[in-house]
Amino acid sequence: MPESKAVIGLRWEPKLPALPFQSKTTSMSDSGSVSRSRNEPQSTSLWKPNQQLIDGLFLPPNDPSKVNKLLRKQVKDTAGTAWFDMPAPTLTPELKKDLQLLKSNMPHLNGFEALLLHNAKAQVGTVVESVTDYYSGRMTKKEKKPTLADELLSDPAVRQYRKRKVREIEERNRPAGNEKWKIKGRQTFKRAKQRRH
Amino acid sequence: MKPRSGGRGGGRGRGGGRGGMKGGSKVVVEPHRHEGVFVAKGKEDALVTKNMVPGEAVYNEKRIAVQNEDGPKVEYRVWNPFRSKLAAAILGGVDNIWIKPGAKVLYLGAASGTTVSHVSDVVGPNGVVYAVEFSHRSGRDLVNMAKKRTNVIPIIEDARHPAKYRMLVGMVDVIFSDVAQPDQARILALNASYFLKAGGHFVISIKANCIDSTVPAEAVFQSEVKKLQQEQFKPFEQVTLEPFERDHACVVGGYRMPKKQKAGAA
Repeated sequence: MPESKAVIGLRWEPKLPALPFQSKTTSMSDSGSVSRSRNEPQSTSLWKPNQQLIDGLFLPPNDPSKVNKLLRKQVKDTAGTAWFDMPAPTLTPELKKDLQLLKSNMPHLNGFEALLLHNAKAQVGTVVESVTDYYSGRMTKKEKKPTLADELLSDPAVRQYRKRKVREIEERNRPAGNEKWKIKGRQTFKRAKQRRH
Repeated sequence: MKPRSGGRGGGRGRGGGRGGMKGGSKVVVEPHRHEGVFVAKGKEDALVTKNMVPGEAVYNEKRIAVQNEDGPKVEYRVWNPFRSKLAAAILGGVDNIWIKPGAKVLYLGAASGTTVSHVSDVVGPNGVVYAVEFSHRSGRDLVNMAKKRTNVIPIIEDARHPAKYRMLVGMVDVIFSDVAQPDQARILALNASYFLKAGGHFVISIKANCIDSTVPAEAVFQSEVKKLQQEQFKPFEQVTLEPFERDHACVVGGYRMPKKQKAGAA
């Protein structure tokens, strides 16, 4: 069928005879659908290529193990009933950075645990501001940051440490200057006299 | 350098004692090793439980709001180990607290219900907490807390007379006892004989000073464990609550444990 429109959100489409006035635009839609099918050849749970549809309908496979595999793929990953089905979050770069920061606090981290990082069930939350500790336990608007990483970096103690370290390294790497040859005051002028003659 | 750098003095000056989790700071909530318990990791780490009644704090504890990607808001409450002996035991590294989602718990010595509220969070909507407290004054807070939590059943009675509330309490999986009385082993045994299922578990917190302040704490703990063993309890483990409470121990064990069958006998 040339008019496989690849309706996103529908698993099947009825095979209706093409309406005559569509024939004008067939070439355009045809090329579009072809490029689309080239772009996403893999089938998702929402969209399947026509070859996998049977009479335009999606049929689940007969093999029970394959059905199980399909079902397992569609279930969202959670921490299980023991932790009230806490869902696994989509691993955005920000979240990944936060998790890495938390892991980097632990020096015993090995490769396996670093791998576990990818299927971590963790949610990012915000401590609720309560009116009772308006003066004692509140962050100012400036101190609030969108992610944990930003918050840690903006900590003044961390910033001072970072600054000190940078200064130390710069000090160490600076090339030796001509400071020791310069004449600073009378005493050094006298001492430099013999060198001058 | 500017005279006011980073607002450090203003931020740290007041309220130093009350934990560093300031309102508005970000944390990452992860499942804890124990079922139904979570950890919030940020600048400081904290033990948290999932709030059964979102939007309400029981004793002005800190709360953590989490926006699910495709669902409602979830809230967690920070569990302070200095106020709760169960939290102190968890942080002390107890192997199993047996209180988990769906469990039925009898809680002796509930006081104002601060720990009870967290136990009710842990057992969740499918579990039940029977909270026994004798004092009317703190019982009032307990009842007020239980009004909002459907899985807490407050009982204002003396735990020494379980017959008085036997009509309210069903068979339970776990007994948590924090009565701090000289005869607390007997109280626990009495309640266990009424309500605890065979093969159930108990968690008891022992305050050495309340039992005998003339002998060292370790001796008191040993004698208490002896008393428990005589009453068909089988203690599995004992942890000290040391950084959080002085001279306290938490003993965890089983009740009328089924005998292990030998491989050859069967």
